[in-house]
Amino acid sequence: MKRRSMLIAVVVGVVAVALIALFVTSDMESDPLATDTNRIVGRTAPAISATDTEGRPFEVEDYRGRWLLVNFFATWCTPCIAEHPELVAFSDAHAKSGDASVVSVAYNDTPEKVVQFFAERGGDWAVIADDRSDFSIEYAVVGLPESYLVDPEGTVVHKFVGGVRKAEIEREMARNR
Amino acid sequence: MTAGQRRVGWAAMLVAVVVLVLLGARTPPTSGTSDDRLYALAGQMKCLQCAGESVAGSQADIAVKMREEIRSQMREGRSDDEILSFFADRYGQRVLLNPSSEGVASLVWIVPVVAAGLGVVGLGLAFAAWRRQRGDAASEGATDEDQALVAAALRGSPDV
Repeated sequence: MKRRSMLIAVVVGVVAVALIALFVTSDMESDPLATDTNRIVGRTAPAISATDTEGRPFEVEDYRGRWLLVNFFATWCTPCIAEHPELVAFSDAHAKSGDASVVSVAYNDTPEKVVQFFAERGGDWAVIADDRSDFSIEYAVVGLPESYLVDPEGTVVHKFVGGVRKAEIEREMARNR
Repeated sequence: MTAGQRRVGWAAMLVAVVVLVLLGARTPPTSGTSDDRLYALAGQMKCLQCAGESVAGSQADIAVKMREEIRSQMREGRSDDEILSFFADRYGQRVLLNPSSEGVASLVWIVPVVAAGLGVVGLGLAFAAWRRQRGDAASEGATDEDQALVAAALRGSPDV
């Protein structure tokens, strides 16, 4: 009888320890915004088939052979406003060689505000402000701003969470070359 | 309480359990484009911008967008599994509130069932052991002398 009680105690103890270990090692409590939940990195960049604010057709596919930074932003998002000069600097630095471009995709915004945003802050690249289409789910965007670096083969090689800096983009391009 | 009353009590309890199980097992629709289905699916997904809220209960931008996407996929005739997989494929398993039934996470589903099963078996064995002990004690406890006394008492003997 004593031996059986001991066996039951051991089994219950092992199960309890296993459950506690599972709970402790699970990432339930971590902040999803701080942790990368994205599964897009390493995959072919999801298609963005839209018309930009200039009325030109835009396809991610058309950028094969060049680096492309897909930037999700909103005119009402303060960190997006803060990162904008960095995007302009990055775009300007690669304008001559043409080896890298930016596309900005507006999130929960209106085309009028987006056009005004670029008129005030500069930026000579394709801007998608088509409020009928939503590409943020395809890219698994969680918060703004978020940017995805697509290599010349069309693969997403890095995700930038929060405001991006020109030097960071260059570093990731060099790392993934 | 008589044996009959006890049986009626057990039967009433069984009926109550069956009714509760049937009520609990009532599932939301798994096809169509109803709000019931939309919110049932959204309720199975975590709002990644919020703390402790599902996509069904949140008004955060991402939750609103995810509900729009769910509705769009419902209109396209996708199944519940296909819709949940679509989100898990992009945001990872963490977006699902119900743990996966694969890999280490499957322990969350398996352990309670195994523990409940072991508990029932253990109780059954314990009850059987107690009943056996009580039977042994009862048969050991009555000596010939005791039995003679009982027999005499039943006969109404003046010796008792």
